[in-house]
Amino acid sequence: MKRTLPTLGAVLALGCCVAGPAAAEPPSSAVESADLPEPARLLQRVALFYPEDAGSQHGDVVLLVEVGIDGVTGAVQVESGPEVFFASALEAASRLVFEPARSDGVAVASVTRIHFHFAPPSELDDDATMEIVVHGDHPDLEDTKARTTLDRAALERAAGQDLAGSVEEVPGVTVGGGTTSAAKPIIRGQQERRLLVLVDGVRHESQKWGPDHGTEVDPFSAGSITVIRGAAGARYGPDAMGGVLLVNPPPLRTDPGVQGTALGSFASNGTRPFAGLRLDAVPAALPALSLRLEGNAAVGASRHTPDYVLGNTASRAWNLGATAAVRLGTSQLRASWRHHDLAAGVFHGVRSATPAEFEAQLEAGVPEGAERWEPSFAIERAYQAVSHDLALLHLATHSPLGTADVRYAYQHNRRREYEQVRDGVAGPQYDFTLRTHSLDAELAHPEAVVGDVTMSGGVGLQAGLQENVYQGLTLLPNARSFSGGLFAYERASVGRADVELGGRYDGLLRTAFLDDADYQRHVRRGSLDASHCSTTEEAARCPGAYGAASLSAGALLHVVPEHLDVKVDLARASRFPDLDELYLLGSAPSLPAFALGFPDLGVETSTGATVTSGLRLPWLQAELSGFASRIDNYVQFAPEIGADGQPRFEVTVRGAFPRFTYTPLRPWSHGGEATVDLGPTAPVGLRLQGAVVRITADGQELVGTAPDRFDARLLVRPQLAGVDDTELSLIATGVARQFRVDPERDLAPAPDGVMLLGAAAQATLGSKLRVGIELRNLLDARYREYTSLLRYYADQPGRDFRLRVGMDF
Amino acid sequence: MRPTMLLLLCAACTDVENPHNDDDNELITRVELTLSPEAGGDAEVASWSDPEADGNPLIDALLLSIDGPYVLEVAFFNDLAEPSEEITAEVAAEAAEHQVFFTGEGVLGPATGMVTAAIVEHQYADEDSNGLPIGLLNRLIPVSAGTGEITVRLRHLPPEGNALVKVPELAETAAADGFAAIGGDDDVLVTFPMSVDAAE
Repeated sequence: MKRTLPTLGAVLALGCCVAGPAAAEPPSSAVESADLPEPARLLQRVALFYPEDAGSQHGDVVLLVEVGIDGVTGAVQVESGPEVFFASALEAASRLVFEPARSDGVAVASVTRIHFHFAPPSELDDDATMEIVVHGDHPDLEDTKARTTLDRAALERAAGQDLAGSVEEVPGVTVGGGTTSAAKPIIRGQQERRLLVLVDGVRHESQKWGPDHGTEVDPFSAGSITVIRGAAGARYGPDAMGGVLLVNPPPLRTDPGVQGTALGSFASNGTRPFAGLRLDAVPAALPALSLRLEGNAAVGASRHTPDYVLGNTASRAWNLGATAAVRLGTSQLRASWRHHDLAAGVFHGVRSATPAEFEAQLEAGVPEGAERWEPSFAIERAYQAVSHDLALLHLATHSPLGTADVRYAYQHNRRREYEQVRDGVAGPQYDFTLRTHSLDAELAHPEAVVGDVTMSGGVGLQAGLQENVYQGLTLLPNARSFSGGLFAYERASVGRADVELGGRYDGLLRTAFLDDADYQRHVRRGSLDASHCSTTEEAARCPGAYGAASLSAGALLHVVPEHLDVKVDLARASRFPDLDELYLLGSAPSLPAFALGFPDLGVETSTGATVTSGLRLPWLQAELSGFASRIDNYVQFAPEIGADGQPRFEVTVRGAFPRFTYTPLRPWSHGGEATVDLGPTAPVGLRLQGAVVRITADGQELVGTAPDRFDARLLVRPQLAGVDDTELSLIATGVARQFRVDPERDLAPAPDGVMLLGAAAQATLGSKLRVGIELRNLLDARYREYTSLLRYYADQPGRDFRLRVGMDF
Repeated sequence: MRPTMLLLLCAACTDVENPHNDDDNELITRVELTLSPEAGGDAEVASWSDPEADGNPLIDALLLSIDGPYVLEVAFFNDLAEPSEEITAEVAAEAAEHQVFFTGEGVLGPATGMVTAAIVEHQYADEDSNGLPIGLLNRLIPVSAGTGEITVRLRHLPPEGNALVKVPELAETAAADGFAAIGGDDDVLVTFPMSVDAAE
């Protein structure tokens, strides 16, 4: 409810009297706008009246403003600033008009922070006005890093896809496909080893080192997914070198009642239906209790290229989740559990072959057996079966000391890979179990005003215990590791500028346990120094200790508030070597290689900068981001070259394979992304997006560096009676050929570039039913994706028609 | 598959500290070739063996005489199992999904195509339930004195969906178009040096 405020005349009549904060506090139940996926956005600037009794001083006043579902301001409270400006600030705030905040697409009341800067009229020319800077307008805009958040509507467009497919539309993101239906995201050319995924604030822990291992995160459980591009180790810890994905659940319901979301989709290529349901409830008898139950399932038959079926690429996936939260005063205690389950066939065309046979199948162009394969839901050997459980206990509390968040989580990741074997052999050939306990604690202190500067920040710690148990064909040892980190960050906001500094130190103690046979193999090969390990009857124990400091310094300048921002981010981030990079010993199931770890690898460290500029006008929105970094001890998996300059081969009972090992390099990584949106809300619009990345060492582009990519969409938004949010689009996606990588350094030449055409349409019927259709690879073009492991064996899937339906109730 | 939920702190779990690679798996570490003269006499055994699977195999040479054809038997063993385990019977039991191919410098046979400088000729002497060759039992016929190599390839050819992968004339297809033109994966691909002595 809008409060009555003194009129301008009354203010003048008050003269020198201190008006004081005349408005009531915003209701405590109102959600902070900045916490919502779609915060309130200022639509209409207003003129500020400079109080006569302010003399000639400058002043900054910060207000907390309630924004109603209609975008009109309600209650207003002064948070800080010189009292002489209070009345004028309150009066101006009452005239602000916003686009309301939204949660799950529904307008909600929220509280947002407004910053007014008063300057004496004598210092302003005729056209100048005193500034209104809305801090906390949108997390993506306020972060000093390049960042994009996909809201519920964007995630719904990718219904039925995995995490990588859900974030594919973000500039700078590509999909790293494999030989199953699972995939992983690539951000600025960096694959999953150098990316960090946080699910509900918890680091996702899995066997992410494998090129054929997808990311076991359910995008249906997300209310929003934020993609941070570039190093972010100072805030989030090790592995956050290429970027971070923040997977956040939707807010829980807080008022009594029941609501739900249902989502379904169908993809024609592979006959892939998906169905998901989420229920949120607050019992009337226990209004402080919020409950959630959600689940989804998908099946898919083998996919097909324009010319043949991709034999044995069927899959089955299901997810379950439950959450209970209780609000106790200014605290909330939340318990949640999520389960992810996936079984996916490995393409029949992937064969464990010698280099000669591998090259022969490349030259053939069409995989052997293509004439045999038929569409089928059956999953045969070889296949992968993965399950991931996340149990989380989260306490959030607000006090005069600030906001504290404490999370304890347990993750259980089980990956089993089944190869082609004789009937007498049961069970998986590769069996990985990863158990992770983690504790994350953060204290964000209350905002403090020091002169004209508003300070915000916090400190935190992270600790973990992880056990990795492997059974199967010779490949990896077991390991136990203890990890810990301490971090602090502080942000200063003054006028048009924000500056943020962050620092963090992380340590890792890891002990690898090798069985005697594997240990002796390593010693005989010289890949392990026996003096580094101690031996018992059961195993050799090989310890390792790592430490790394991460730093970040960022600045955000509102060049033209609400319209033009420039961000600069300087960051140093690190990654500890993974277990496979240190101790791998065995044939790679998917590639003609014998892999050997390198136990003396050090900490990988990236030092670089990102500059991002964002322009927001009613008729044009654009963002341009460029980055450059140097990576020390960058670990690359590459053929081992002998003293004679020739590749070294390993003679096994299955033939002779080239030896691949992990080699530290010192590459440069640089590139950029650009997005231009003409007419973002106009009846006809055009959206252009592009990304380039270069990762070079010693003048050579590294194998696997993503090729240049371009996306263009023509959008038409007709206004139809009874139909909302209608949008039709024609899509053209171009992927260049990766010609910068020396083909002699790769197992196969890079595939040709490709232009893919598509179309999409979406609408909301009767304000409730959201429908969408999408046609991918409209012309059923044959192509291979450079970032997919499949490119060594077969073409990508062809034309795909997708239908989705969603509704809230 | 039921979801697993282990909420107990498991810092004392001993499975981490007692690693063992499960050797009850698809492992072959030794290939034995037994040559028996068809005219009678002592059999000769040559083996390709990498008991520690560390890339340093011990390889015997095949020594033949120009005088007579031989029966060639192939056997497979897993010496990492305790006790050592012979795999041959399992291969024979799944003969419809396995075939042994013989190629190499100096070998003439179904899987080699035309060879002008052969020192031995290979012939299959067994067949599976579909009448297709297996390759566990063979004939090896010396054709000229000299030295060469014989490569023994055990190919696992399980069906894919409802389609058989082991079909007639696989060896001939491999000879014409290479082994990339036939399905399956190699469980064994080893090479023995070979020599045929001239008649005394």
